[in-house]
Formats: sequence, structure tokens, C-alpha cells
Amino acid sequence: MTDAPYRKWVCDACGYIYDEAKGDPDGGLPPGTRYEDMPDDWQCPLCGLRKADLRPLPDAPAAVSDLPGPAESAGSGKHRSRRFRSAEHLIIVGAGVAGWSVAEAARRRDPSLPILLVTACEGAVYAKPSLSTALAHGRAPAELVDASAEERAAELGIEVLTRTRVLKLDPAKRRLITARGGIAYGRLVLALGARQRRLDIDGDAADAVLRVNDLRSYRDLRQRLDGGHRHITLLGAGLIGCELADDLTAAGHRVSIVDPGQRPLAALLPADVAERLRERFDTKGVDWRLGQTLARVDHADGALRATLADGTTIATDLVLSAAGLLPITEPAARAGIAVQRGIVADRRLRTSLPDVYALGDCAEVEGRCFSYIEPIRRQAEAIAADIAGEDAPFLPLPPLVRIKTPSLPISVCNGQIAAGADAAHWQRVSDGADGTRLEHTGTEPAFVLTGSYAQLGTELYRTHFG
Amino acid sequence: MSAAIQIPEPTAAGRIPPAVQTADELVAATRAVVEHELAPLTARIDTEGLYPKTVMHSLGAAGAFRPHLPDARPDGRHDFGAAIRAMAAVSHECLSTGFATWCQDTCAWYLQMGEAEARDLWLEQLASGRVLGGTGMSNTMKAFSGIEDLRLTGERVDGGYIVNGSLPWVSNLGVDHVFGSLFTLSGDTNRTVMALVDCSSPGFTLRQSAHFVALEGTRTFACLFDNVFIPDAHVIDHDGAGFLRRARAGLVLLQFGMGAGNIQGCIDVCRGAETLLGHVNQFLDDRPDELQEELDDIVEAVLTLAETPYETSEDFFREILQLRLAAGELALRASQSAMLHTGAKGYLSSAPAQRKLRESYFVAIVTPATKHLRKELARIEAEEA
Repeated sequence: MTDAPYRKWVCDACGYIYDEAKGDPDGGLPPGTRYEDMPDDWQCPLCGLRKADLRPLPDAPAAVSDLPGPAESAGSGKHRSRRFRSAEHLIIVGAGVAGWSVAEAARRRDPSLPILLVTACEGAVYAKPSLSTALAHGRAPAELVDASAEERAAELGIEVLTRTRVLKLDPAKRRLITARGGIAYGRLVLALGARQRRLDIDGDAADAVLRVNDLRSYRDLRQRLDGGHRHITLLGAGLIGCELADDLTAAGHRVSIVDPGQRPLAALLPADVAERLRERFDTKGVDWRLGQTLARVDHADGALRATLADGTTIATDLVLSAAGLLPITEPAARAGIAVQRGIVADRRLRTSLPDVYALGDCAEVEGRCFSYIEPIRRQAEAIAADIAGEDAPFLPLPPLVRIKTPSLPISVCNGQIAAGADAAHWQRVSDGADGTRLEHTGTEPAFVLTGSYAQLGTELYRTHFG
Repeated sequence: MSAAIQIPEPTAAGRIPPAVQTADELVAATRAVVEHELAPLTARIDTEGLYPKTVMHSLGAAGAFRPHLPDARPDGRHDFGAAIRAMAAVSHECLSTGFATWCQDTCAWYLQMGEAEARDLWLEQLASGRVLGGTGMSNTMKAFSGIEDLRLTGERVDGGYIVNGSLPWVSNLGVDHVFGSLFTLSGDTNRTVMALVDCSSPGFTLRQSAHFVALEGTRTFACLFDNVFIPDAHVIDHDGAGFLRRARAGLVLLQFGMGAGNIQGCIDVCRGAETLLGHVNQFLDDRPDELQEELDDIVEAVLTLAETPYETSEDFFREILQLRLAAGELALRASQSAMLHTGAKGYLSSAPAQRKLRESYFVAIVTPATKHLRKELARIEAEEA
């Protein structure tokens, strides 16, 4: 016999506690039976497992998880299912500039309208254009965030439901179907945004191609970039591709740009201006692969090997796709809402379904998608006005586009005309070492400003469009 | 226990039914089995722990275990939605049998998603309901969420693995049943193997111990492995972690059959009390029409997610977990409401309301349980931020 104190043991499958002092009389073990004296074929009375499955009962409770518990987390109770019943609710789907702008505009007009913003992402408020300039400015992704979804919602006096994708729209019942349950709507605003076009790429690293179109994917990019100088293969020499290339090279990374066209920004700029941008990029060491497409990406020696359609290869660390945006329209199309390239909306941003609006990257008005901040804000105002019964529709003006390429800042209005027009219709107002000012003399106003003239964009835009 | 491992003959192609049942036909056939064979046994399953073996074989013959298995269908497509609806029709009457159906469906799903050899040997046996099977994956799911350690260890030997360890509470088992489970390799705990376990294997013991307040008729046993040989022909995947990543969406999606059936059963109990008690029940919360609206939304979401069971992204799985959480929570509210709507009549030991109340807790505590789901969702959100 031993005088050692009795110990307790726990069955690690079911939590049954064997106390040596009490034994297990029903299982034939009198009080005082030590673990060492228990027969090997003893059965746990709760789950049937064996003596070997008993562990000494720890003195202290298991460490508390360091995940935020429901009480401390920002949106207390956010894991719980919630019910929204009100047919008065304005429901906004999407937390990009478009979604938040509608919330702001609607709240400004009506302090008591119940508003719920539903978003598939975390919903943080940030200026999306800053994703193109953050590297050169030395800003970490976290510094780009103005407010969390919960903070902005509290400021506006609205409810927000983050990480909740809309799976389906049920117009007959006026409900949204989400993975957290159903949400009834009175009026519905679709601000679904756009996604980066997926290119058809082969190879064992095809899944490693990054597409940056939101804060989350940008964070992912920065995680791979920060802490070293890398080589990046950029797919697409459009607006996003050029802005990222300028930012990446400014931060000391090396860049190859692959594009099937013959010059950068071919859809926005006249050929000679595009050529000038290209020359500026040359001085930063940008490796142009124009007239080319990417065929495959494979893992090679701890990095990647990009193979172009003509068989040439690029040894690279990262492949970043910026091949253009496609409006997200599936939930609307599935619900029977008219969709062409984007969700079709009129000047009041009304879709083909009553009480359902669409704006921003996912919508088209009179055949055009308006993917820039300024028209999106005007669209948001038009929706709020329509809900409030005001007659203040959206005017589909050609947007003023500021291309954030510090190597050669550019402002352009009516890019399609600018890119397509022949030189005879351009009036070269100024042209010198510090920039160019081109104005189009046709029926529709258009202009291109580069270098030091770029800052005149807003002023010139006002003279044309009021 | 019998000696040699019985490996069935490979599936004869002709065993697959020649025509595809539509989802509606399947649900109707399932309901017929429920009404004629299951309903007379429901009370005994609940109170005596009777295992509905013949009902399970009949459900198999009716096609209830087949729709989510492309390789067990002549058209080579899946209809996860139909499998979930059939399971809901069973769970509406009896959640013990609904759970046994989930075990069967999930075991077959593992084979569908696994190596060709094991699939050819066993898939049709399970899809047809001739062989009954379970899933010993609760421990695995918890282990991959950092809640507990893996309990089975295997050692590589010529032609297979020798497995030791024990699993508590694996359901839908019997000496002539099989189940899918996962073990770590001794000496390399980072590697896991997914395999089908034959309950008649030498060294394998089923042990019944505890009794539960519901779900008694599910043949739930502790499984003891003493040097159990698992032949390579029974390996579902030599990369267990990769397998779980591919199979997990389907595994959890199928569980909605249990939740939806239980909740609908509770709503119908509430509605059944309406004629006599509507005048006072109108003062209750969670009225049947409100519950129905919420259930319909969940079912619509489930059927949408069920269109893409092969999707492996973290975002998709997060959505399944969110919805799974919502279903568990609604089950608790619906069963509570069934009790309050029926009053003292629902409190009788023979009343469906009190049985459904006990059953509904199962929806909320079977892996992944409510607390497990909330932990998992918190982890995913923390990783994103």
C-alpha cells in the first residue's frame, strides 16, 4: 500500500473522470483502486474505451483560446444567425465604394430609414485607388483602412453583416438567400463590384497567379513582396497594370509586362502619349513583352517560370494578372434581372425588377459601365434621391480618369475617343518637356493631359461638363 | 468475430439502376418507405434502441443513398440536393434513422472521392444499401480543428497497414458493416491515411457502453483496434489531409438532411396543434409560419451550395459552416417551439414533440457542433484579418 494521495484520471474521448479514491464500483473497482491496479480490459462506463485511454487529470483548465470570444469581438454575436424581417429595410449588397456611398447618401436624406449592408468580404472602408500607390508611399495594407465595417456602420447608424455572400435573390418573396439565412428587403441595392478576368493559363503553378482587386488579395500580394526585391510578371498593360508596374518599380521590384496589344493603355490613350509613358517605364527598367500572351506558369527552383505563347520564358517570383474587370452579375441574372455586360440600369439606377437598384462596377447605364469613383458617387446620390422621391437622375457623362503613374501623371477624358481618333482631330494646345495638353475638336469633348498639365484635369472637365 | 476479411466482388456494371430517378421521384419513394416501414417503428427505435436495419436496406433499394454519387448513377452526375431531400424525409419522421442515413451517405461519399480500387469494390455495395456503413471522422474533424488529437495510428506493412488505437462513438455499425476513418502514420505524425475499416477484421472490436437520451437506435459503438490489418485495397486515400480537404464540403452538406427534416418535423408538430390551440398559440414566439420562412431560406441556400460539392476553397467551406450553424440554432428554436405549441400533450413520453426536442440537440451537437462551428468561423476570420 502506498500513502501517496489519490489521483484523478480523465478519459480523453468522453471526459469521464476516474477518481482513485472513489473507484468504479459498478465496473468492479472498489474505492481506493489505483490506476496501476486497474485491469487493462477495464471499460470506460461512458464511452467504452480502455484504461490506456485515461490521462492524468490536469490541475489547471485547458488554456483559453486566443481567438476573440464573442464578448470581445468587434461585432458581438456576429457568429449568430440573425433575422431581418422588415419589409421597410434598404438592403445594400456590397461594401466597396459603391455600397458605402449608397449607405451614406441614403442616411443623409433619411435619418430613420432602416439600412442593412451585407457583404461577402470583411467590409473594411478603404480608398481602392490607393492600392495602386501604397508601395511607393511606404504604406502597409493596414494603413489603407479608414474604418472597419463595424465602425463605419456605427457612424452611419446602419446594420452590417460581413462575410456573408448572397447566394440567391428571390424576387417573388423579396428575400436574399445567404449562408446565414434569409434577409427580407423593402428596397435592394446591388453593388456587387467586378472581378479580374481569369486568363486561360496552363502549368503546375497556374493557381499561383494573383489577381488584385480588393484589400484581401492586396494583403496577400504584399505578404509575398515585402521584405525583399522580387521580379513580378504583370499580365495586362491597362490602367491597373500600368499603375501597379509604376508602383512596384518605385519600390525597387523588377517588372515584366505581358500584353497582347502593341502599346500600354491602348484603350485610353492616343498612340504618341502611350509611347511616351512607355519610354518613361523603360528608364525604370520595365521589361516589355508586347504582342504576347502567357501560356503557362510552372514552379522552377523555388520560384516560377512563365512561358509565353512564342515559347520564350521569364524567370520570375510572382505572376500578377490585371487583365481587365468583368462585372459580377450572376445573382442578378439568376433572379431574372436584365443583364448585358453589366446589370442593366436606367438613369435612376433602377434595374428591370421593381425596387431593385444596381450601381458601380456591376452595373451598366445606357450601355456603359462606370467604374470610377466620381461617377459611382453620383450614382449613389441618384439612388438615394430616387428612394426619397426626388427627381435627380444620374447623368452618364464621360468620366475623368486620373492615371496614377507618377513617372508620367496622366488625366484623360473620353478615353475611347482619345485612343481611336486620328491625329488630325487633335489640337496640341501645349507640348513640351514637362508634359502635353491635347484637346479633341470633334462633337464630343475629349482631352489628354500629361506631366505638369495633368493637374488641370478637374478644371478643364468643369468647363466642358459643368 | 469472423476471421478472414471479406472483400466483395467488383461491382458488376449491370447493378447500377438503368434509369436516373428524378429528385421528386426519389423523395416520393423514400416517403413511401418512411410511411410504411419506418413510422411503425419510430417509438421503439427511440425508447428501446431498436436499430432499423430492414428500413435501411429498404431505403437503399428505394435509391435514397445513391443520388450524390456520380459513379453509382448511370448519368455519371451528382444530385446532392436529392440526397439531402431524401435524408430530410427520413429525419422528418425519425432522426435516428436520418442519422444512420447520413452515416451511410457519407461513407459512400468517401469512396466516391477516393482511390479507384476501394471505390470499385465498395461503392455500389453502399449505394444500394446492401452493405451498411458509418463514418468514424468526428475525431478527425476535431483533430484538424485543434480540438483533440488523432486517436488511430497505422504502421506501413507489406500490402497494407497495421492500425492501433480506439474511437469512441461511431454509429451505424455492426459486425457486417464498414466505416471510413483516418489514421496517422507512426513515426510521421504529419502524414495521415484515409481508409475503409471492415468491422469483421481480426483484432477489431465493437463495444457498446453508454446509453443516450436520443439517437439510441443508431448502433453507436466504441471501436477498439488491436493490430487491425487494413489492406491497400481498402485505402481511400494515402494522403488523408488532402482527402479531407476535398471531401469535407460534401460531408457537412449532407448533414443538412438531418437538420432540415428535424426542423420541418417540429414545424409540422406546431401546425398540428393549431386547430385546437391556435387561439392561444398565437401569443407564442417562433410561430410555424415564421419558422417555415427561415427554414425555406436555409434550404434554398443549402440547395444552392449543394450544386458545387467539389469546391475546395476556404470561402466556400466557411459558407457551409455558417449555414450549418444557422441550421443547428434553428433546430433548437423549432423544437422548443414544438414543445410550447403542444403544451402538456407534447410532454407525454409517447409524444413526438418531446422526442423531437431531444433529437434537435443532436443537430446542434453532432460534429461540427455549435461551439466547434463558432470556433472554426472565428479562426477563419482571424486568419483573414
